[in-house]
This record gives sequence, structure tokens and C-alpha cells, in this order.
Amino acid sequence: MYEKYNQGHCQAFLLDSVLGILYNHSGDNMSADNDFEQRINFGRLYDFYGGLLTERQKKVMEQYFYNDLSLGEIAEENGVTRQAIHDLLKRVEQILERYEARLGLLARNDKDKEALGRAQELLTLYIAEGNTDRRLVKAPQIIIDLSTEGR
Amino acid sequence: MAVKIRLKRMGAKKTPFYRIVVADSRAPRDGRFIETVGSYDSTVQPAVVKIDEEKALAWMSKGAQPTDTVRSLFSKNGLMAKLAAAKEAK
Repeated sequence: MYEKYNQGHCQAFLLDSVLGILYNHSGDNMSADNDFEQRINFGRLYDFYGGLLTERQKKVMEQYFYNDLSLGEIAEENGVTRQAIHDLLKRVEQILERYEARLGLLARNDKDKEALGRAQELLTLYIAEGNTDRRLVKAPQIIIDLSTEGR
Repeated sequence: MAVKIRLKRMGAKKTPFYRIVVADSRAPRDGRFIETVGSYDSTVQPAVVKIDEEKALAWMSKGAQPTDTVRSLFSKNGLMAKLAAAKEAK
């Protein structure tokens, strides 16, 4: 009786670990994709709202994003534990996401850029078709200046 | 000397541009690096990835460790599979 139970338990355990391996394996590429996008996005949020963080938070974020240091390396440089850095980054992520949820500057910026790009394209086409009124010709440059503002 | 492959951010605020660089793990702060092996430009849609595969593979087969970020970028572009294949062939 006990043996039977044990056997069943063993099989379930084996199945679990096989599933675990399969799941982890297939999940690997996906999470690699997401990790990377997520990181780039996190960095962009920092561009917009970084000024609202504390000096200490900024320092760690810059080590993390600008120089791609590992949590362990950042911890060592700051004389704290890896866990402390991990917590700090998690907290900063939440802060930045909250700002974006309320203010939406990043989403707004992306939208603006796309719209300006399209407007500029249309104007350029229009000018290329021989509409070279000198007041009109200045417009594309104004759009370019506007879309590269803050660079 | 441990050598790492990192994603280094260049470019101005709000226009991120990244370089994939090979650097000594102990000299990360001043940003000195040994060689550039690629770039990632996210200012354009879709982002443009350039990797000098030959150099990147050569460094990795010599034991240079990519950071998690670089590793995910590499595996996204099929480089980690190539490295595994190269190791198998030896």
C-alpha cells in the first residue's frame, strides 16, 4: 500500500519535473525577448521621469541601464547587498510606471513623433511635386525641429 | 581577467542608442572598453540590431561572459544557438 503510494508520488514528481523542464525551456526564448524589450522600455521611462527620483536611485539606475552592470556588481560598488539593489530597482520600476500611468509622457511622445513624421512625409511629397512656395518650404524643417526637440 | 560583453548606452536623453561592447569586468565605471561588437538603435521603429557575429562568437568562445541583457539580445538573434553549435563542432 505504502509502496504503491510512493510509486505514484514518484511518477507525479517525475512528470512535474519533466513538465518543468519543458516549460522552462520553451519559455526561455520568450522571456529573453520580453526581458530585453522590458529593459529598454524601463530605460526610456527613466529618461522621462528620472529627474523625479532620489540621487541614490538615479545612481543605481544609471549603473544598471547605462552601463549594464549586474545587480551583484552594483551592490559591490555601493557597499550594500544584492537584495537591497534588487529591491531598489523593483521600487523604482513601480514609481516610474505610476508616473507613466498618470502622466503618459512616454506614450504621448511616441504618438507625437509618429504623427509629426507622417506630416513631414506628406509635406515633403507635396513639395517634391513642384509646390515650392517659399513659406511652405520652411514647414518641414519646423516639423523636424519639433520632433527632435529635447535631444 | 574576466571579460564581459555589455550593452552600453550611448546617445542623448530620450534617443537611446546602445553599443554592445567587450570590457574588463573590473573596470566598468569609467566606461573603458576593449572592442565594440555591435549596436542596437531603438530610435527607429523597428529597432535596428547590428552584431558583428564573428567577433562576438570569437570573444564568447574565449570565455567572455555576456550580461543577461546582451545574452537575451544575442539569443533573440540566434547567436547563442550558433555558439552552441560551434562548441559542438569542436
